[in-house]
Amino acid sequence: MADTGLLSRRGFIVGTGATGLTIGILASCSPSATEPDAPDYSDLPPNPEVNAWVHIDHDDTVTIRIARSEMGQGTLTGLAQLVADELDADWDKVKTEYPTPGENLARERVWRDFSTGGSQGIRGSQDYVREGAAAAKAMLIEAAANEWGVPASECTSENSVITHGASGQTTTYGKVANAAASLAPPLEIAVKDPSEWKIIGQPKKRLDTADKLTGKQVYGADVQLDGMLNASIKQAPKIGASLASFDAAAVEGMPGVKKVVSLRNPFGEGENAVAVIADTWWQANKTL
Amino acid sequence: MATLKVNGETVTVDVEDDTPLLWVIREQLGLTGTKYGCGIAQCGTCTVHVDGSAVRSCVYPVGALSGEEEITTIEGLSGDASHPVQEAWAELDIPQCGYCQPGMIMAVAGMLNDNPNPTDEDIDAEITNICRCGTLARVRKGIKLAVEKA
Repeated sequence: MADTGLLSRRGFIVGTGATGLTIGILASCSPSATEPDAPDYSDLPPNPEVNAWVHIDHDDTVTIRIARSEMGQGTLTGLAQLVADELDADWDKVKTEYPTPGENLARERVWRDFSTGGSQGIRGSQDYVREGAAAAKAMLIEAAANEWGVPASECTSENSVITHGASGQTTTYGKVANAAASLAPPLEIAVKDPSEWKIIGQPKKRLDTADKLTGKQVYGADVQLDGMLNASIKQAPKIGASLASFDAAAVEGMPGVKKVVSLRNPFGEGENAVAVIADTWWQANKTL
Repeated sequence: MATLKVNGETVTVDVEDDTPLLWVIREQLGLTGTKYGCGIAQCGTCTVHVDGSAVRSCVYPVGALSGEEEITTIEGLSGDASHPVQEAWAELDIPQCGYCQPGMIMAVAGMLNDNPNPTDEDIDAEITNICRCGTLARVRKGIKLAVEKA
């Protein structure tokens, strides 16, 4: 069923598209004026995602969802290149974000496999991430074609701009992303022939560098949760060895210490490790 | 209790005197850009500046500080990634996993404070931080580029 709120919002965006486009072109022709003259989209509701792989803001920022872990191997940038190329996106406006494994489960594994290893990040997912991007592109073009009342097959895309050559009309991905999001994905998806690639295979600057120069990049050990405690663990030095004894009472009451626990031996009988749980990791480790 | 000046701000934290500066920075101040690597001053990933000189914060007891020293972490090096070392690192895409790079950048920035034009021998002697990804050849190029930019 059509949602009238959504329709009227789409109508509003369609109605303001031409004005926004004019401002966009002026801004891009005049770099010094981009900041003060940047279009203000603050009264528009945020665009929904086009599909699981691609979100496009009103200002044409393309956010690509990355379902593999970047561990220094460059997968994040490589996967973004795969999507951006199939999407015909403006690479200078590409950002990335990680969906969580929980989101993947909630959405019936729409991003498929999250595991990262064995040099499979690109090899194992390149077909379906490119298809996801190609589907998003087809929906964006269809949305523009619907707006203009022309066949989608007459429209072309490049650098996040859709053009209808015959009438000379153009629009940008950000302007049609909302309408595209409500279209059905295409039944048949054609990905590019490698000869058509413009971004894939190019030595692009890494998208993950900036946050790694300022301390902003969050690693596992940096995660802070409300009420979180920290543990430090000492395991038996040999497989098969078991815990002889420990004296929890001797350290109870030390600063920050919450509890001392012993751990079941995963390799045999009894227990083989002891852990101190404290407010901070330093307290836990010092006590241990 | 300890009073410290970190990235220009004076802070008071409730810790034991033997708490390493690293854990004050990470767990008391929540500045997690400074990383824990080996905990025994070997790898350098915990490097911060005390009065402009690089120190390995994992073995630096907070009780050894008077509270007057200017402590700088990666978050406070420039605030906007505009330090010549950060700019060189961006230009050459030096980080891979990036875990060691806050310490690497602080170590290099500390060296350049004292020695603005280091030789290869100086770099070998001063920059002993460990990078398991193996970015060390790019780090050397980055140091030379940072010297040009400074």
